Amino acid sequence: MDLILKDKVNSCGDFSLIQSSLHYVSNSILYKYPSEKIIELKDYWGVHFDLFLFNVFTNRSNNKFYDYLGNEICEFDKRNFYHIFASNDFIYYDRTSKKTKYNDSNIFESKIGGNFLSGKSLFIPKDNLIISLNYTNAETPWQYNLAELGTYTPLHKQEQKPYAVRKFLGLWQNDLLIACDGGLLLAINQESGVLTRQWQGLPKGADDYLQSVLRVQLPQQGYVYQLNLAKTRIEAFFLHYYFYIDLESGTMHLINCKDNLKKYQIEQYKYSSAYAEDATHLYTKVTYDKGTLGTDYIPTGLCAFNKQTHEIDWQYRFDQHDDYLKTDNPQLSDNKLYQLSADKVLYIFEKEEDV
Amino acid sequence: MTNSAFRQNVGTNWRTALDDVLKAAKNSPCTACPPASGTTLAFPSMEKHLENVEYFVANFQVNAITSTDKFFFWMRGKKKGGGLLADNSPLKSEMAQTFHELKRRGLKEADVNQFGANYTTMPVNGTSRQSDILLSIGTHIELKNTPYNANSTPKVQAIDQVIGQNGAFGNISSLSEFEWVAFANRDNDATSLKTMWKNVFVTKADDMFKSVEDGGLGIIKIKQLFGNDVDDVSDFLDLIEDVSSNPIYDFIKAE
Repeated sequence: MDLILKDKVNSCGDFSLIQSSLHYVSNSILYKYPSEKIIELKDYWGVHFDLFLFNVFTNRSNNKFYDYLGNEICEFDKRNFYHIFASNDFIYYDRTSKKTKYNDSNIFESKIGGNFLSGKSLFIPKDNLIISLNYTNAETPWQYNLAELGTYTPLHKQEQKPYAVRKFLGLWQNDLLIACDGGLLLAINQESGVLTRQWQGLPKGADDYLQSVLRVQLPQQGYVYQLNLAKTRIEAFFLHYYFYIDLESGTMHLINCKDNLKKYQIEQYKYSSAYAEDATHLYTKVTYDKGTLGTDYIPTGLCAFNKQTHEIDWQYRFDQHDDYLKTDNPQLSDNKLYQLSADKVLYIFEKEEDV
Repeated sequence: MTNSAFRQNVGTNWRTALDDVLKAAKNSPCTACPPASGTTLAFPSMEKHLENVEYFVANFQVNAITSTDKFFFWMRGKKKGGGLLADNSPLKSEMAQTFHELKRRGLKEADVNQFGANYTTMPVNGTSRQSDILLSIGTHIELKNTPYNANSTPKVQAIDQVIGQNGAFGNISSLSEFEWVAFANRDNDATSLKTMWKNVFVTKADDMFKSVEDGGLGIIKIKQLFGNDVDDVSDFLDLIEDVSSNPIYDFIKAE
């Protein structure tokens, strides 16, 4: 398996893969790849891409919806959009009434943060609570209080912190999977709000190095966990380990990749908030061993991790191209891998399978 | 120190090394000395400093972590490339504060990825795009040995080092991965520091809330750091309004 660099888009800002088509902003113009101009953007600070429309918004809370032909559909002031189902059907925070609304109906008394939508249910993190809200009738069937699980001490710090939802990972069967800051993963029945399973602490067999660095805990950054495409595993990359929880059995597993990474002078996986995945591989950012390579910076790169063999099948060093990676994550669509660099270059790789 | 980890780890020339450490730390006032002033404020007491040096030497090898070696020169008052450091060299202050942090937190070699970590491969404006300690768990720690108060304005580079798209904020995925620690010995207190940073945020909010293309942090980064509910400048200004017990300011410390 190999990935070949096919193209680069310079001066790239926000981008998204809509129905396998790359849409990107460059020099304040929104294009469909390779160079079909859709609209010129003015006074914007972000573009949110949805399936059938995109939302251009300013840092003064003005939102304009466009279709992908560049036609303006509607404009709104003083609204923060959470979920856009259609150009006249959405869940949003109304900044004037200070309530969250589903179209014209009030459904919640405040903002709803990094919520998760499943059918007609919204799951809302609010202080220590996870609140289940039916957005069609504003009923709240249950709430779960994370304070029941105690507190944690952030590594190398003195203070105690309550567990907080960092990321809703998705659904497994009827359970809502949640990653909390503090190295705690939860499964809560989405209908009853009952805690069904929780994972905390390193799996058995964790080596001395890992036990020492993580003080026998799972990584505390809740953002590193992800539900895999098949929805059978929670997984994460950290240090030189691939970690996963088999959701069927509930067992945690650790794969030590150190020797394999070393072949490529890779020191470790870069802490990342998402991994790209296809049938055969996971794609994630890495950092190289600057001591071995003799650089005065930490070189960064991208790798393809084979899901079967747990080995690196491909890697790409960005500093060899006078570039580097920050926190942007790789994205995958239609056999192409997209990675935005710190120099605002979108690298487009194409996957070539072994013949 | 004469029968200690310092002696064992430094080896046969430990007496010379200890003499150098004492000479280099003459800015450190002993606990019986008059109140600290001038450059002595940048150091813990002599007793504390010697404990910190011993902790460092006992727990860190010269070349095990990139850039550790510089401290073995600086603690003896020497430049890494040769020659002596000036009495009031800021590198000595950096060394004293780093040792203080390592011992205070109980950090060992495996806990530190490197000292002097660049956020970017190609730093612009010298060291402004760099943190002092990168922990193995991904946390950057920036140490400041400057006296601040609530009305201070950090230097342009010091601000850009934190909120710039190539500074800390541009290179972390959660505020918990960054700590900005001002030396408490220099009369810094956390509440004043947080108020100072609030003023910076208010002044710089419009610059932060620009697209990445336009030099700002961009919408994805802003939501990653400050939450999904921050959609525009006014949301951000509401969020940072209350300085006391606001987790947004947890990354600012006086230690």
